[in-house]
Amino acid sequence: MNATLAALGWADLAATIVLVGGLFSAALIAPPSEAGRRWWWRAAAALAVVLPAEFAVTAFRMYEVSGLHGTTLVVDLARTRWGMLGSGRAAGLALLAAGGQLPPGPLAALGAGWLLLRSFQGHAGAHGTLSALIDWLHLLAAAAWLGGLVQLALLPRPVPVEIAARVRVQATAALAVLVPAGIYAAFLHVRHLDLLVGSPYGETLIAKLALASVLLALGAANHFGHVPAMRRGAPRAEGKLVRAVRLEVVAGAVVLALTALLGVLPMPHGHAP
Amino acid sequence: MTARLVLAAVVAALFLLRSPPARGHAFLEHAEPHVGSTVGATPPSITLTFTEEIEAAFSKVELTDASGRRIETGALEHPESNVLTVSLPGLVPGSYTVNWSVVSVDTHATDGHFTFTVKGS
Repeated sequence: MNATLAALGWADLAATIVLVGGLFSAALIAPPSEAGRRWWWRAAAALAVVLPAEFAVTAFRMYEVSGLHGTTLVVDLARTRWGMLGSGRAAGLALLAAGGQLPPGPLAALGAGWLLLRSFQGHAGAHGTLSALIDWLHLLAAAAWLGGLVQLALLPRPVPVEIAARVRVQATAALAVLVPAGIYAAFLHVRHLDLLVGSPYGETLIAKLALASVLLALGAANHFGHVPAMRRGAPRAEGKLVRAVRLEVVAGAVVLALTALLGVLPMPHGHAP
Repeated sequence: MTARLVLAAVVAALFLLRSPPARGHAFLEHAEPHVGSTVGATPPSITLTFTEEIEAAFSKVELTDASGRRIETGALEHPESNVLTVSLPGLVPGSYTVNWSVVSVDTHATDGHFTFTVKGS
C-alpha cells in the first residue's frame, strides 16, 4: 500500500510541478511551445485521475484501520482536513483548467495559491503552519525551477539564447529559495543527525540530497558554462545545454520520486510513549 | 526519449527505495495513566496525547483486562486536536491493556498498546 501511495504521490507531485511550473514559465519567461502547452494539459489530465485515485486508496486505508465503510467512510474522509484540502485541490485544478485563457500572470498567481493547499494537506501540514509554509516555498521554487526546465526541454531547436538566459535567471532565483527552505525543512523534520542515518526517512532524505547535488552541478554547468557560451555564439553550446537540461529533467523526476517517498515515511522525531 | 528516461529512472528509484512496512506518523507522546504504571484506584479516564493532530473519526481506544476481555468504556472524546480520551467504569484490581489506533491529519495510521495496573485500596 505504501508503494501505491508513493507512486500516486510521485504522479501527483510531478504533474503539479509540470502544470504550475509551466504557468510560471509562461508568466516569467516566454509563451509555451506547442509541446509545452500539450504537457500542461497532460499534467492537468493526470491530476484529474490521480487526485480521485489518492482519495480511493486513502479511503481503503481508512477502511482497514477503522472498519468504517460505505457512505459513512466516504463522508467521514471527505470531512477530514485532508479530505477538505483534497476537495480544494480538485476545485483549484478545475479553476486552472477553466482559466486557461486568462493572462499568464493571474494564472501563475492562481497556481501558486493552489500549491499552498498541497503543502497543508501533506506531511508538512500535519506539523503545523510554519512547516506547511516552508514546504510551500520549497514547492513554489521547485515548480519554478523544474517546470521551467521542462518547458525549456520542450522548445523546438534551436533554443533562443534570450529564453535560455531568462531560464538561467529564474533557476538561480528559485534555487535561492529552494535550498534554504529545503535545509530548514530538513532540520525541522530531522532534528538529530543520528535520526538522519538511522531511519528510512533520513536515508531517503540523504539519497534525495545526493541527487539534488547532481542537479545543482548540472545547473551550475548551464549557468556558468553553456548559457554564457551560447551568448558568445560558441558552436555546440546549444546542444550541450539541451542535453544538460534533459538530464536535469530526468534527475529532477527521480528527486520528485524520492520526495513522494518521504511523504509516506514517518518523520523520525523522537517519540517516547 | 527524455520521457522514457524519466519513466525508467523513476521506476528504478522506486524499486531501489521500496518503502518499509507502513509505520505510523502520530506517536504517543504522553498517556494518563502512564505507560506501565500502577495506580491505586480506577482512574477516571484514559487520556492519550499524540505528537500530531488526530482525525478522531478513524481513531480508536480500547481497553482489555488481563484475560483479554474487552472493557466497555465511555465514548471516544477529542478535547484537543492531538488528544483522545475515554472515560472508564470502575475497574477491579488487575492488569489492563490500552490498545490505540489513530490516524493523523495527513491520514497516516499508527497503532500501539501499553499496560497499566490497578492496585486497589
